[in-house]
Amino acid sequence: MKRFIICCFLISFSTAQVSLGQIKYEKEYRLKAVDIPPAARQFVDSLDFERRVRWYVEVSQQGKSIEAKSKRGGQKYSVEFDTTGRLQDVEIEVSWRDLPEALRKNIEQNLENEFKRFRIRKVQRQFTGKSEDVLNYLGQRGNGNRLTIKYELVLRGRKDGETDEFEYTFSAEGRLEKRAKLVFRNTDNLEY
Amino acid sequence: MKKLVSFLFLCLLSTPLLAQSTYLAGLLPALNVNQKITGTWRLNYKVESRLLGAEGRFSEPTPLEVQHSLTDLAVVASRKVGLNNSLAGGYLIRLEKGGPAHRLIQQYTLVRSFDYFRLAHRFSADQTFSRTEAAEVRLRYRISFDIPLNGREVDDREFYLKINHEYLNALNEGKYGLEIRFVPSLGYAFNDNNKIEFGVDYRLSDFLTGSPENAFWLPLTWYIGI
Repeated sequence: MKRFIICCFLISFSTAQVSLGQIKYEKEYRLKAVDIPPAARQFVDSLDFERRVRWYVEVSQQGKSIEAKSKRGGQKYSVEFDTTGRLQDVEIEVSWRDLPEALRKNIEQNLENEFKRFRIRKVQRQFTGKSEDVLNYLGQRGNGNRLTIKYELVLRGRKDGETDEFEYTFSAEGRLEKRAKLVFRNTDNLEY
Repeated sequence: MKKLVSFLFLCLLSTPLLAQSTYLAGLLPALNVNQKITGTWRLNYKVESRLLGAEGRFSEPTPLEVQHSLTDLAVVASRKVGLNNSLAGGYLIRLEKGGPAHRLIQQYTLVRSFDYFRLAHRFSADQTFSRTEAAEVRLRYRISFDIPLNGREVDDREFYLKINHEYLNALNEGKYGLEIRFVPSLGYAFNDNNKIEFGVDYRLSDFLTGSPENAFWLPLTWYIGI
């Protein structure tokens, strides 16, 4: 009886084949202090973060980038550089309610066209431009006229009977620019 | 000074308690295979053996002798009912010397991802039947989290730390029993569908009746996604 049960169990295993291929090439790891490009360090030091700054390297199909994460004025900051230390963008987590009402309406209209229902989980205001201009704006020494401002939203949306998580990028006026479905990592080792 | 006296007093009190307690120690090798059937349905197959190394009272240590105690074979079907939650039901057969035991399993899991770690809640129930023992019904709750040891999420070829903490309420012949488990593990992800974990599985039971049993298992689990 024991052998029969074990055989049945092993046969049911063999009906599927082990998948060895990788779906997506993306990896991130901590960056040692000595490996931080001086220009990136100088920029981040100028922001006077209240908390410890965590440095990461992100490797994806688009290439390598360096990211610094910390907090300032109770807000989460994420500063991205290329590998030479040139600023790519600064993202600041903001509350959905703090966005201008007209912008919120435009974004909501866009999302209502996409989903049966949705829930916004995270909003980031994204600044791109010359590093001096970004620093001046964040240090309240400039009006930000020369910066490009976008909004990156992480949201949970339901359409065609399925719920998924997405990342949407909108312009400062609320025009949809980019959308991507977020892929979750395998959770089997937490469930069983 | 007061604190020191209190601490010494508690230590003195705990010595006879520990002496009365019993213990089990051994290995728990397991293979956990997850098969995706459709977008929402999955099957989980699990084989786990218990290799008992030592058993006795803390006051009378016994020599180490590894022997096979039992093997569990389980199949659980799960259905995704939301973005990160699923309902599951399955069957487990326990092969041991006294004859097989059969267990029905029902569970609901909820997994949440945060910036630097993942957190999972598992609510489950099971009913065990065998010819030699009375039926046992258990209600379980487990909280688990895993945290990468490098970066913000567990990437391929990276180590991670995982902690499970579980409460098992059992009802057997009208008697209530509570077991608490604490399982810290070190994991290594070869890739997202191939992980191995090694840790210490500490189980405390029968402490409500005054003769607690301590079990120290060394689990080695291999998770494969197919």
